[in-house]
Amino acid sequence: MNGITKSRAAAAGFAGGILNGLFGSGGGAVAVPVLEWGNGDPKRCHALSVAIMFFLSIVSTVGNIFLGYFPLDTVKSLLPAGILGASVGALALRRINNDVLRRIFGAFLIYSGGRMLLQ
Amino acid sequence: MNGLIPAAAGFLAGAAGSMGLGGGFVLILYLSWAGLSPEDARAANLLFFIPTAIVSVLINKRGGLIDTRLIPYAAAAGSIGAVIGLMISGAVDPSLLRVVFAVMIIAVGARELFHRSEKKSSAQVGKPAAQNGG
Repeated sequence: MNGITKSRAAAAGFAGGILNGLFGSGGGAVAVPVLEWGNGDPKRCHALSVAIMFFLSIVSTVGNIFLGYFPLDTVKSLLPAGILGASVGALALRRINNDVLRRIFGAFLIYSGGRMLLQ
Repeated sequence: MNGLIPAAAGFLAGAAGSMGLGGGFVLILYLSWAGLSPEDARAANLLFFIPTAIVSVLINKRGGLIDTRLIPYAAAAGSIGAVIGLMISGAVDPSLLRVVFAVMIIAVGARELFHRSEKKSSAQVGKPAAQNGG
């Protein structure tokens, strides 16, 4: 029903963690495809990838604090709009068509990959 | 106008991040444009994601989209992966790995973008059944 097994979730977390450890970002770009590989429902895969990236972001943020990067004031000013956006996004995820979701994600991956190549 | 652009960037980044679409690229683009260094922009993006992800996970859990039993497995494996990734980045030139990863996600992105529509495939599967039923 869910299509996402415990081992698939662990594999997605592991792959996302490696990418975040290597480049500081990009974990979600690999976690979602790994989850979907097992025939996972796209909406559930995207929702779980947010939870995975939440933990990875905490790990990376702790690392950044040790390195002296903690731009709290910048984030504070963006947060009210960000929380509103997150609420709208999460509600939209319930309703969005799976095909549309996959195509938007595909476009995002191509854009991100292109940017990485140009860096 | 001055407050509108950061509000729009925050909203879009929150919405895209909350949908698992990678809101980071929206926020990093904006913060780089606003004059932050790449390191500060990346750090701000990660920090911004933490509270917005909490909102997303809570709403998605209520909506039945997240099986919370899976999270500990993913989080534990993710932490191990992050440490291994850090170790690899210290031992190998990340620029080559960046190219390999970029090509890989472009390929996966193309597959997602041009995938066969669920509606079309289910319509084809459903057709004979509908005829039998009628």
